[in-house]
Amino acid sequence: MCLLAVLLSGCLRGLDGAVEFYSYRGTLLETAVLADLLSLALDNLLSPIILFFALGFAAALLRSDLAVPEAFAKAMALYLMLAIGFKGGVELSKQGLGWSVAALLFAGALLSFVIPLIAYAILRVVSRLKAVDAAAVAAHYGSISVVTFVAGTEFLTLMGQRFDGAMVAVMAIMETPAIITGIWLARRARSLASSGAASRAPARRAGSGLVDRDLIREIFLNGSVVLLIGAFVIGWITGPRGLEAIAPFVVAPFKGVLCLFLLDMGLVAATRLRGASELSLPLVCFGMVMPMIGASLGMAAGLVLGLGVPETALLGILSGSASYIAVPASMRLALPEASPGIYLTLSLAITFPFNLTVGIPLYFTIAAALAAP
Amino acid sequence: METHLRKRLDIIVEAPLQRRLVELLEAEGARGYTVLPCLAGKGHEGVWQQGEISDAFARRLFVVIAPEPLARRVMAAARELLRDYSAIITLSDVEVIRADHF
Repeated sequence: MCLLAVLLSGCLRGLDGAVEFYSYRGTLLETAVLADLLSLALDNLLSPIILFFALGFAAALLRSDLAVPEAFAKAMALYLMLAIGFKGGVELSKQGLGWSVAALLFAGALLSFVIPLIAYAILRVVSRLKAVDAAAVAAHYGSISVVTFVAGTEFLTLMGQRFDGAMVAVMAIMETPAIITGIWLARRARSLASSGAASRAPARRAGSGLVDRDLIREIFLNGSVVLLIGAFVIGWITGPRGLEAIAPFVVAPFKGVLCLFLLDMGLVAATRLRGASELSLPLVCFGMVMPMIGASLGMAAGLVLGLGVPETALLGILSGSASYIAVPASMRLALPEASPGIYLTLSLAITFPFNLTVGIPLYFTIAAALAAP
Repeated sequence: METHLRKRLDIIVEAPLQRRLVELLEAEGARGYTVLPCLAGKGHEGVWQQGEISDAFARRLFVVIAPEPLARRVMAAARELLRDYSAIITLSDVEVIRADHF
């Protein structure tokens, strides 16, 4: 609860900053709009999704025996990806494909490739992480979190904003490039180190080549990517009529399932945090500052592409979020010497709650301020 | 009752490596194996448990029963495959009833 209060005040502070920015820009009308945004941001914090996350978080901190069965949690994750992918495809079928979609996808992939480089550089300066750990963490921050995206879309809906369905495809695209960058960073650091210190140990198996064929398959045919893109394509093919047919499954129960899933996320995040012995203060700060850097880059890309407010905010949310499903699995295979106690704890127990409570309303407010004429 | 001496190979690996270990067993000519889920544990890399959102940190236990030469060959190959990963490989004596199965 204390943590929640801290996050709450952090959120208000973040929004205050935006208020100043806004009043600097101008008119009373804009300030009124912003006061409205502020109250809606508070509504976000008091939405069932966030409150269930807080419940799970608190329950695990208090060592309750509350638990969501693992198989059920996995099924919920599949459901969420199916539903979000499908609905995104349906939205896109209404708008049709254009060059703008291609540009958007390209921008997403580029962000995912580049953000790990920035994260790695920051980590090497501010923390004492080994190169391989820094590279693994960096890969997580370049990739995305589906649940953060979903929470973002729920927030947008709360704000009465409709977003472009293509953003779902952008999310799917952004999952994997960061993994390649992360592995490249780690391999580069390793070869630099071994050429510097006259290689004493025999070359490690995992060190041969950048990524082997197995790894490529495991990265690109990762279950979440396949389901997201697959459901997206099915939604796109079947269009609004398809949505009508399965709406009772993918639309009506969506929020309830999301609540239960976030309850589990709260439990897992707090359990991770309780066992977090490897996190130092600079790392925790990184976990909250890096999302804002990533989101800034994403929103800058949104401005360059001339996206609307909801799309700019979503690109910010995607760029600011960190993976905790697809990337850890790849890192386990590709960089086994990197410590999950660092990368998973950071993305799941620090960055995810940060984005959920503070980040999403903050990015939206900034996107609204920037895109306002 | 007549029994036959065989070797039992226990390999605990991280779930993402399951497929690779299966491929290894097939390649080495193991006639059978059993894969079991692991619930929780503690070891060199600290405490772990099933139930994370990602499957990446779950463990699997492989049980392989084979004649000694094959068991030792698999053991050596598994060691090579798992050198960089957290894993436990043990070899022990067992008695089996149906010799032609193992």
